[in-house]
Amino acid sequence: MPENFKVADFFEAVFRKREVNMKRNIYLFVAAAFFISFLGSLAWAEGCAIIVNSRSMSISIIEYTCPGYLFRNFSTKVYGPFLAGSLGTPGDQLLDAAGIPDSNYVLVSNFGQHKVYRIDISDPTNPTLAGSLDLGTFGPEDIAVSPNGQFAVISNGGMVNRIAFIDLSSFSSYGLYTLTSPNGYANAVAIGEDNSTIVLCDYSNSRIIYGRVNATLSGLVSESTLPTNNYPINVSISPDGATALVACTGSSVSVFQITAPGTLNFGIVRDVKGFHDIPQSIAFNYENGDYAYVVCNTPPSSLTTLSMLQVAGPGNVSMKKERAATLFGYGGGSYYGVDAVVAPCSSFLIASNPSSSLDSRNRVTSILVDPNVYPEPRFFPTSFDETLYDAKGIALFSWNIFAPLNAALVRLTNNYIFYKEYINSLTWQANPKNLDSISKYRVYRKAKGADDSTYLQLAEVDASVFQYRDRGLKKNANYTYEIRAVNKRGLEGAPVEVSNVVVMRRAI
Amino acid sequence: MKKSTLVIICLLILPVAVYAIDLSFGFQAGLRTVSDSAIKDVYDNGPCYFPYAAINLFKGFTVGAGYEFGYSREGTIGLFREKTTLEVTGVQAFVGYQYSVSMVTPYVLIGFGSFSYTQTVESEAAQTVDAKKSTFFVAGGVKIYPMKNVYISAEVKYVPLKVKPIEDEVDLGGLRLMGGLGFTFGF
Repeated sequence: MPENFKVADFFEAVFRKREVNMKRNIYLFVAAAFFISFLGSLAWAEGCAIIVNSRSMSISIIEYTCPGYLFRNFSTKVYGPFLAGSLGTPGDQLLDAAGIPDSNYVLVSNFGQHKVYRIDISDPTNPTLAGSLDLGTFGPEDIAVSPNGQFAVISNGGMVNRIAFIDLSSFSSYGLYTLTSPNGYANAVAIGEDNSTIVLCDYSNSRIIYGRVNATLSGLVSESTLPTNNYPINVSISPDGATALVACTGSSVSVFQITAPGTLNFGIVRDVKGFHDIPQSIAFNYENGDYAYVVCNTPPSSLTTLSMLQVAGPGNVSMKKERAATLFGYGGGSYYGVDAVVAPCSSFLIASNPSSSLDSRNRVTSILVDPNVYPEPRFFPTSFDETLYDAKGIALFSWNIFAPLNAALVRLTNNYIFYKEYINSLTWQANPKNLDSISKYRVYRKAKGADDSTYLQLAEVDASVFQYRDRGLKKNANYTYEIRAVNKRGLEGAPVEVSNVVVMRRAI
Repeated sequence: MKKSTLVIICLLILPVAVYAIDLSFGFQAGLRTVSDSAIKDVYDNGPCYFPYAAINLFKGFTVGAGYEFGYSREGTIGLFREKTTLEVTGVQAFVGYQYSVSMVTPYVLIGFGSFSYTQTVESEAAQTVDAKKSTFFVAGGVKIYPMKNVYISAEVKYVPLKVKPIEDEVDLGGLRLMGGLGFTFGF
């Protein structure tokens, strides 16, 4: 033991160290709390909803971010209304919208003018009309687009026994398909995740008509029917393609199981009952399909309400909460078949007003849902003041930023006589699917074979430039490059990667 | 090596100068050719100037020194035709022998020069080349004396100058075809 060692000093030193450690731990805890809060506040998904303004003949766009996991904040931004004057004249009635996957187009139906419009919304601040399709005597109402973006099926609200098939690659009509079911009327339509199953609501005959799309995408094969509760008005198919729910104005939701492409059976629960109000429109939670939401009208009180269903499995559906929220919609009656609610994520949905009312108090409603609160879910509806009172059809849409095409890398040797400069010359082409949405391209670089996390931004070039030269390289330097398009909203798209040296060229 | 060679030459000249008979000053101008085809393509041949001083010793032997400049060329280089410049200058010392026949005095020279060369390219990817190299050279010519102390001269000089400042060897050498005017002062 050292001569000057004192036991008291030893313990004092120990306690002092413990105090320091405690302070450090407190700081660490506070820092971790802030970090977790920050993570929780981050929204994890984003997209937009297209709103069709029925009487003012325009569209609006609601951009949203889904709520974060820890802190349930979310954000929305409304653009529009747009294209008033380009989508027909007041009185024609725009009714429904549907986004086309793998593109930046949406379809909008004009019931009165018998037209379907294709609208380019790659720039949400400036949507442009990209064509219209005249369907003759057919008044289009509800639109369903196949998940692969190849074709669309349009119903006419149950007024004739035909449906329209549209080729989306050429935006042309396959013609009108006449239902073979006796006295069948197509009120609303949905297409399954298999890109084959088609389910129609036959409002007048209280049944669904279903089948498999034929090889030419222009009609149904094995067309069949199953009964529903009274007067089916809207239909939705779950994201896994196994369940079809039909909103019936007879105050129930009929449940069906899709067992094979074009083959439906009754669900484990045949009808979900217990609605005090009249179901008008139904949509699954798009994220994972564990819930479905039903927008209802209440003719006596002229209010619009929302109910929540729980989806336990294919065809296994039950009421989770009836009259869960009151929406900012007023008035009775309805536009048959119009999709009036979308649920992009498990805890957030947007509803328009399915009624035919033009009450000036009508608004689009965004609803934050806390589904797992005991004893029952909580709903927090908020109105969009910017949205017009006549919002009807609503559709989800995700902006796509497609990767540039035909990216290539050529290794160049630039002779400065006393020494040589080595250049990786990158070229690419604009992806026509991006339409006019791209504002610039970003070029990233990493050492060849290195982890993707080591990519560093090398350059940013204007949207009109389709090449970049990585200059001043060492003779043996090998790199891999990523080129990404950036849209006018600053969002970056999917990358295209190049690294192979294809041509060696030398010049003085 | 380069500096020490010049110093040695100067030390050799200095004691001999004590016994000098004539002192000459001259200025030559002419064309400088370049041997390297790449250099020629980009910068081409160019002008060249050479002021010098020489001491004419006994029996026609001569020692002298001068400064070569004037070859400063512009061009475009590489894949992207970027603007570039090349400048070559050189300090030279020489010894020679001349033989006077009436008004005409032919001569031959051998010398040693320290050459500086600078290449610039207007590109962020390029680097500036700025280096030096020493080399021997040979020359031959003739002086014509229309007056007693004034002469005009014509000279051909060949300078081999292979350099490798970074990675590639380049021949910056070539011929100088020059004419000039000089003055001789006798002591």
